[in-house]
Amino acid sequence: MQRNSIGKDHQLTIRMLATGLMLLVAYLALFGLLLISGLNPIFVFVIGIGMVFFQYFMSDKLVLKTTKAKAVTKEEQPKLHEMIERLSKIGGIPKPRTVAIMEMEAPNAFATGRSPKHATVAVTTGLLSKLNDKELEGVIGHELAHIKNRDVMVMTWASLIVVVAGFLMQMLFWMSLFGGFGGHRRQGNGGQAMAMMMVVYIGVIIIYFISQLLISTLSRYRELAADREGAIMTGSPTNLASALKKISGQIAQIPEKDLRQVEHANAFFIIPALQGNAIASLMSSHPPTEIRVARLMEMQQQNWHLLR
Amino acid sequence: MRLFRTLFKKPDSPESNESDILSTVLRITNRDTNGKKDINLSGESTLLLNANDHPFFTDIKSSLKELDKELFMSTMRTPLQGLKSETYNSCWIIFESTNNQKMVDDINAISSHIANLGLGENMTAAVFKGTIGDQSFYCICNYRTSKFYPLVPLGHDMRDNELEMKIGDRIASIGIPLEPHENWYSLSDVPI
Repeated sequence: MQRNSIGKDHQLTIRMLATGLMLLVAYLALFGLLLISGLNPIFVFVIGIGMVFFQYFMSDKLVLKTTKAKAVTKEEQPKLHEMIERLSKIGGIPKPRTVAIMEMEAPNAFATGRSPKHATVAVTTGLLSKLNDKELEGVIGHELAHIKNRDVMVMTWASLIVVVAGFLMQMLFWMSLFGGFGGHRRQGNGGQAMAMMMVVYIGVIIIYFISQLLISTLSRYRELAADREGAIMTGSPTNLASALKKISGQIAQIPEKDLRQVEHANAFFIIPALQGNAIASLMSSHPPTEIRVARLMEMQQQNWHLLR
Repeated sequence: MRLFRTLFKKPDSPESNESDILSTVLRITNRDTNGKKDINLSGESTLLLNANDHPFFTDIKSSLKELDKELFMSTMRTPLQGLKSETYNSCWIIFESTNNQKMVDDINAISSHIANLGLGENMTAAVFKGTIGDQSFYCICNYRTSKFYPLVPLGHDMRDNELEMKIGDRIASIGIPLEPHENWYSLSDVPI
């Protein structure tokens, strides 16, 4: 049953590596700026690592708490448990420790946890009611692929630079407000030191935004990789393609709110401002559904099963 | 008021015709699909009002009794019970009849009357109960947009969106103005 020799998408792998390299350059630039500024880079990175460690170890608990997902037993959800168990075996990973359900009409799912052993897969009631078994299998396959690819770990650690740059931005902002970047304390060259700190501040802001873009790009590539891996796990790229079309199509636009909650809010005339916006799509953590579906259909048309 | 002029026929017009938006819902009645009359109106409907401190709402039962005397709304359900919504500050006026045309006429008449009281903004929607096969659904006319959309509640705040999409396609195909999907808001406590 186990399929470990999964065909690779070399182009995608190269793109991920290139993004990783650019992130490395951003890390070095940030380190350089820290040295110039006179701030202790070790101190700043230790704080950043501490924050990321907390996020890494607590992510599953935090996500479950914020989404109000409730763990369900095999007796409560036998079909879902059986499906996850079967696909985990095919994927060559242990069955996730927690299977959870969120009482939410919007069809959605997520996987979290620092390792396959500590993983959680959660689905919404909307997903269970809207998708047929094959489509649900496609989505579960995608989520298990995230676990197999250790995406929580990769993305959490990749985002360390954003955490550190964000922390620095705040620190420099408060320093500028209350201490004039400490210029008055620097003997002699107060003005020059202040100008230098301004350069560092602007540099950190630029690195922060570039890192955000790179992290989002990496996340989109990881999503495409999980689509591919999940499709191979389930044996049918069309299952996930059909689920994605259903989830993000017209059904997904149907609101959950009561008409009386929105009748005074001019909601009937609002067009989502960021839809189709180029910047919004650059910052998006998921690739556009059309691209995902097209890639899956391409996979289906090729003799993709020969890749196994 | 302009909205209501476009929504409804004049109150004194003798018979409703399809020039008013609400009457287009009658096109649902006994619709054929492959020789089978599977989509229909069930003869129950309700008008949803957003209540405020206007005298019309403070004693709505008396207000409606007065209105009934004036307009002879034979399809309005009496005795007038269960009018107030528990969750929202809104109320429902319920209509029942085997004559769907008469029911629409009564909703049009009462809507015009309420609009003439200066309460046009307080009218939220008209809701018609229907059936498709063995499944019940609601056809909702949103008074703010003058368009219809389907609602298939499954209980516990769940909806059958897939069936709603199918019904939406059907009602649009027979010329009923369809609300865009993003405005298909739920109604949690429809009393019919």
